[in-house]
Amino acid sequence: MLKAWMVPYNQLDPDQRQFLSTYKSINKNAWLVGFPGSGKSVLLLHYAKKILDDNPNASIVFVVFTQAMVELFKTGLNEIGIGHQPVITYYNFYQGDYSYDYIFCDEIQDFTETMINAVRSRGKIVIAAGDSNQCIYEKDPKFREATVSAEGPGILLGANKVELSIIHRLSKSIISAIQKLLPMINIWQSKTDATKADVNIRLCKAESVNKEVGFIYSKIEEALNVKETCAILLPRHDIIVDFVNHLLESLGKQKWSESMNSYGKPNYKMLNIHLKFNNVRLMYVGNGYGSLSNAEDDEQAVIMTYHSSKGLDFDNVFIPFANEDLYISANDYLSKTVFMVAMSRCKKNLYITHTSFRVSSYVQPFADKCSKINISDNSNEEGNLGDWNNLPF
Amino acid sequence: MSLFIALLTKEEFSSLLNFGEIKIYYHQFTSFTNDNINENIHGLLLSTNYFEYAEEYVFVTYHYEESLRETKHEVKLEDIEKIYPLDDHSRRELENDFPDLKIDKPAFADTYRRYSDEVFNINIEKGVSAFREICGLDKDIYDKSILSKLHRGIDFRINSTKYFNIPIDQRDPISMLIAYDRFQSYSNDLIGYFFDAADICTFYCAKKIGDYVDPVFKKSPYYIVLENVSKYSRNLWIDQIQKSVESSEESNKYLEKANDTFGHVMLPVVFLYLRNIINEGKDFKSIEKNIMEVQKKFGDIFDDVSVLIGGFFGFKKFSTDLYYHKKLRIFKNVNLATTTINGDFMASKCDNPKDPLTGKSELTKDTSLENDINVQGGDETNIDTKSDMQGGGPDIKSQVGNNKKDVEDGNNISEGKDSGENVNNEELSVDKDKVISAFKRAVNNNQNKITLFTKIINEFGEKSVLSSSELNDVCKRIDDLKIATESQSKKFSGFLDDMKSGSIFNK
Repeated sequence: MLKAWMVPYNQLDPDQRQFLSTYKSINKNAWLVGFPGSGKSVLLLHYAKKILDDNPNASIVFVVFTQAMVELFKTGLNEIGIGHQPVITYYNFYQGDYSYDYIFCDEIQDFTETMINAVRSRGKIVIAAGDSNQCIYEKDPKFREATVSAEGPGILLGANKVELSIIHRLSKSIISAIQKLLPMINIWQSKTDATKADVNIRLCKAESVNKEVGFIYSKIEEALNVKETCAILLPRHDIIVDFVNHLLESLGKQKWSESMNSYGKPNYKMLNIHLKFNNVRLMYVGNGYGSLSNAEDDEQAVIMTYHSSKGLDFDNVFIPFANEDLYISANDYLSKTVFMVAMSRCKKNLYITHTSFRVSSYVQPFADKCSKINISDNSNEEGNLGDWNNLPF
Repeated sequence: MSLFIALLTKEEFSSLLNFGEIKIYYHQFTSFTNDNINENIHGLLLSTNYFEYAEEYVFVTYHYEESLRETKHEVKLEDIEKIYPLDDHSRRELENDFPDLKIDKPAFADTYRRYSDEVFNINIEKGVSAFREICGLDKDIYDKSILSKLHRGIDFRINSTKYFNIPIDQRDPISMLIAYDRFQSYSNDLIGYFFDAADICTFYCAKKIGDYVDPVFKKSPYYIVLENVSKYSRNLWIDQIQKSVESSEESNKYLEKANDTFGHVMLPVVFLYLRNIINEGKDFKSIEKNIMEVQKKFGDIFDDVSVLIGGFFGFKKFSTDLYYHKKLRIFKNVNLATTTINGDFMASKCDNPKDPLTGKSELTKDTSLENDINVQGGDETNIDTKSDMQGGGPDIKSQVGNNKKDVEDGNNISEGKDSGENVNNEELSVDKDKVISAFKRAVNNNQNKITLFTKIINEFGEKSVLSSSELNDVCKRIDDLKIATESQSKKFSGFLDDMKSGSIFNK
């Protein structure tokens, strides 16, 4: 995922090229807005490269939200030959007091007002990227301060909003589904690229929860056996424990007796030990527990929350319990955004599974575009494999 | 005064606004009043240079004294009547860029779409020619009948029609092959392409439609054959797998069907193989080697495969390689071995079958390692912020200078000689175990990092000693992976320097 994600200058789209030519010349704060995959982060790096080409002594810093993004940016900076420039997390930046000629911020929609003010006060020029449409936190996870309002980044930074509206990364099927889930978002596809592999979205109905989780696990084992990555994404922690215990039950293993950590949250370390002890190829990752690299090394799937999955991608993504009563948060728009984040993590197969008669309202808008699978006999709308008695060879 | 319509680049349009007037040349305008307006506008589009994005151009209508028309005339801003974007998307872009302007609906969107399809098709055929030329084939003489199937397959992809959902009456094996993406968990080794080919063949021959969560030919004897061969095929190349598969009588029925369907049983296998390695953007030299091997082993189908590959990726993908191939004057003298196909390095572990021919299994390992590092970094709390590099310490750094100089002065690194040939001539060679021990100290016995590091070391083969150039490779790989956190990066750089110089092993 980290390898060579930068796009060379001659492959930038017109919006991107125009931003680089225009904003570098006017040299003022800017706020890049655009959907995931529209190239916001790539542009921050190109911009920095141009600045440093003109003035190698300019002091710059990249401020990003997660450690995953730190790694991603460092990879990109190396690719364009400025790998020595600092990339730090939002929290690390807050703890410091250095001032810079240029501060480049990513995922600005998840910043708080306090943080944006800090960025502005410590940078002569601030170039920010991030779209309020993609905000997945109402409050900062650590400081509990509200994240900025929709237009907040532009106002607080005194920056012009520059919109990037062509999507280069997501597959056609996922873009199409997102357009139906969030029709108010301006999302356009780079239309002429037929070389990108599409994602197959499968909507799978089971008769019972145990059959649902059993089906998911069987598909996970198949995928892990050929070295593909798998993630099970769920909206809340209580449902994660619920899923795991249904899985253990369906496999005839002992359920996990939930224990809590000192913060009153599930002690996932103990859960991971329990899963390993029972030879279940699954690991919880997030909140300081588990490790994606270990999961991949040991050919295990990961289970995590929708929120934790932001910025990651997997070959196969499973979204279980997508029933009519699926609850993500009280804020409907935020819930849809978080659901969109979860479903856009996949590179090959997206399995959305449910047991209720009707699927969740988050899925309904694009359900007609999904392959419908009946888990009980692996049949689709056209029939099951039992019909294939007269194979041509 | 008559009404005209002109096609301006966005830069020309900006110039019109900034300077209040613009020169419009003969090929840029046409009368806006006659009955053939769509055809005239299509002609205007064709008279421009090829472009990819609708927002790069804009139509303006303007009043002008017809008798004064010459090959070039100046139009003032006050003569402009309307502004027409080329499509809905560019309308939105124009509205964002020029919020004070009245932007009309894209009245000629259908004509633009027609033009855009034509350009796309031209790109496909230019891609065929380019790829064939790079491969040393005649760029113009090939079976043109395959082009219509190629176009149809690409249309399915553009419209997101999966291969299994193509209506029965619109199917042909080639367009299904072009539309195909793997959604089953077939082996990620080369034999996976044999499963893919059989999957497509089943759907085509059985005239079935719809998605199935299990492989559709799972009940076929041929599936069992492939499963059996896959148990030992990991180190076999495609032709060897083919022989293994064909040696089983259980394969005969499939082979007969596949030959009838695709014209040659190996055509889908070879196409999917090349498509995948090109998509992964391996360096040109390794792809060239694979292509040559395919040409050598499957010369009878390579002509058709080259058309499919060139058309699938289009001209843009191969343009840079073609320019180097033609040794164009404006290009710097860059060694082909260091260039890449279009600079597109998107890596995908899942579709990265191992290729014994070029040691691709090693490359697969590389990707997994980088994924490891990345995903480890994905969870902020999993990164050690203080303890990662404490073992490296200032002692290591203090020894960098002298030893580094010694090595650079004394060995062959600067001459760029091949490491395998120079082991005996180099001053420095170090036991792998010593390297790993040094790394353990540097990362304070962080088990995750040691595991990753050990994998890298082990990829240098069975021998227990690493040469200087191999050590340099290790350092580069480690550096690329960015194992260190920002706060530790200086110490880490010191560690890498000490590795290169060998001073670390004196500790």
